[in-house]
Amino acid sequence: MQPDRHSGDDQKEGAEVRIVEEMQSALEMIGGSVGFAAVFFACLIILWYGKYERRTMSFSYLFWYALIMLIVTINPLTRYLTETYLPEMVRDAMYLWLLPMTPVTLLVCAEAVAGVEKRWQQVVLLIAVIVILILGGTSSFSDKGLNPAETYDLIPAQDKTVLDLAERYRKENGMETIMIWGENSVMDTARISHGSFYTLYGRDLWQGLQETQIPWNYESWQMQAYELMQEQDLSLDLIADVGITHHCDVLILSRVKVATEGGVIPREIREDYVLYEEQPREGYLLYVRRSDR
Amino acid sequence: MVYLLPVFLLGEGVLLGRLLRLIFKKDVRMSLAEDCLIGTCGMLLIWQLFMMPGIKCNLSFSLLCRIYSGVLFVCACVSALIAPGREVRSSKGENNLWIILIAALIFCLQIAFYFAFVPDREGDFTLETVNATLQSGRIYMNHPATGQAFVQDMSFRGKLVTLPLFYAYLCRLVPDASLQVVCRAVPVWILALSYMAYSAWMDVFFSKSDKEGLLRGVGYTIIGLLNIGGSFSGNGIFYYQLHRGYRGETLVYSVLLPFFIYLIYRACSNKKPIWFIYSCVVFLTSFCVVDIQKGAAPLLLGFAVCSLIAIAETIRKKVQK
Repeated sequence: MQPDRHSGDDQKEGAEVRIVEEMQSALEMIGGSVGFAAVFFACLIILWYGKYERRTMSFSYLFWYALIMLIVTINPLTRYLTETYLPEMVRDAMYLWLLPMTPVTLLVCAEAVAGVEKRWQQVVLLIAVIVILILGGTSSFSDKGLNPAETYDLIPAQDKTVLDLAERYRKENGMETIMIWGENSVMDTARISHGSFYTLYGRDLWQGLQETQIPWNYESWQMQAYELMQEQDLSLDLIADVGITHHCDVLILSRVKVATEGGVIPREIREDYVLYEEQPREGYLLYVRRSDR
Repeated sequence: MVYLLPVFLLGEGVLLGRLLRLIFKKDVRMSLAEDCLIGTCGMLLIWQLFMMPGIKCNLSFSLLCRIYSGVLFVCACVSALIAPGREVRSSKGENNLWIILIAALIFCLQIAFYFAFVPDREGDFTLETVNATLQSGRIYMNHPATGQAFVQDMSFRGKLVTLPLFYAYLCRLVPDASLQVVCRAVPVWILALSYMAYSAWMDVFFSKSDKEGLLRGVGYTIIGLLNIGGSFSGNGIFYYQLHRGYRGETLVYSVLLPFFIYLIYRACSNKKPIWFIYSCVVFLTSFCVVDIQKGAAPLLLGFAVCSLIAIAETIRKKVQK
């Protein structure tokens, strides 16, 4: 039976296309954006000409360092070796951070601005550089980082209000630590706002994070507790049961999920937890464990 | 008080750097930025040296902090008393106040980022580790995500998270401000160190120019613009600088790596042993702040490329002769 030459050709063509695509994506992500990649290449070419004009060791050194590093970082062999032996460097294309984008750009731009004699020309050129760099950065805009802070403490206002209540409760009762169970957002901000707040589980559970230095296997009851808290219609009896069993001092529940059809807020959950204080309008409800439970 | 922490860290870095210069070779001329950077590396290395026996012997965190503070205080006093000072360089050329103001404005804009935007904490447990360490008073006895005690004891290597524990030490200096320390003070400190690392590069590029002031001013402006412009994408070192400034990889790629390449360049051009020693100090620091793949590996790659250039330069000179 003749071997299928077409499938072998297809595989080879597929591998070549993949290599080209990976090199293209690497070229587009120098500095984190397409615009910055273009700025880097333009500055590298200018540096090539400047190397001969200036004839200084530092120019030459930077040019060759940048060029060799560019060849090292974008070639497929480096990508293969990085994926195999240095997988952490593949995350966020960290191997591209090796490129000396900052020194190349600052050298070329500084020499360009200082190269013109008149002050007004220097100002105009600097404004042009500012515009180019800002536009270059926004060429691969992602809204990932633009998360305006609502409060001075960098915690969402709604979470901060309820956590302040929890802290007040802790101090009133002279407790060194309190165990909190509730909505994911509050559990997350509880751990970063105060070390005295313990939580039933961490955000690595719902964010699926893999942190090599924190090996943690959640027990089945924690997984069930997490599932219980994600439901739209909370089963308050079950929640109280789990909370009492695992010594939760405070339950922080969403008002929308707890209120009945008539908008009535229960003052207590079973006989185990009692409403400490409710926030006006939308927000969280803070239930604390009865002292005799 | 918390916002004076970067000033304290930079000042301590300068004093420690002067002391290290005295130990290695006092007559070499170094800039303030170089002293500060090498002193900062020394600070982190000393912290690592304290952490290792502290974890092994299960010492309390507060005891380690007190000993470390004492060592820093003694080093600072010794440096202030006996380490040689430096001559003040007078600026040459025309008045460049306008570019200095622009560079300062852009620096302040970056600091405003740390106040205006919530940092990106995806996949990061630095704050949780800091709070867990401060609450328990022990190193990695409580799980950062929940605050509860570990069911199984962690390995020695797993507990050796130098940078978050260093931030926990800083939080002991300014109580009840762990969020401000980690998300604001530390990124400002690392941003300032990054400026210093590139300032060393500018010493090489511009020190012999008549327009040194203008060139430096534009250089500092460009550093800030790259950080601000790069912060709009979801990844890249510039994004990390403004949104994940407390991470170890930010310290490596924006401070240690450029400073290391600069030191290798100095070592190749001057051939004085102190530059090799300083390179080793920076290289060892990369082991402390982040894992090997993200820390030492990039520095090794940079060293390999620099060595290649140095060998090519040597061959070229021999051929020309």
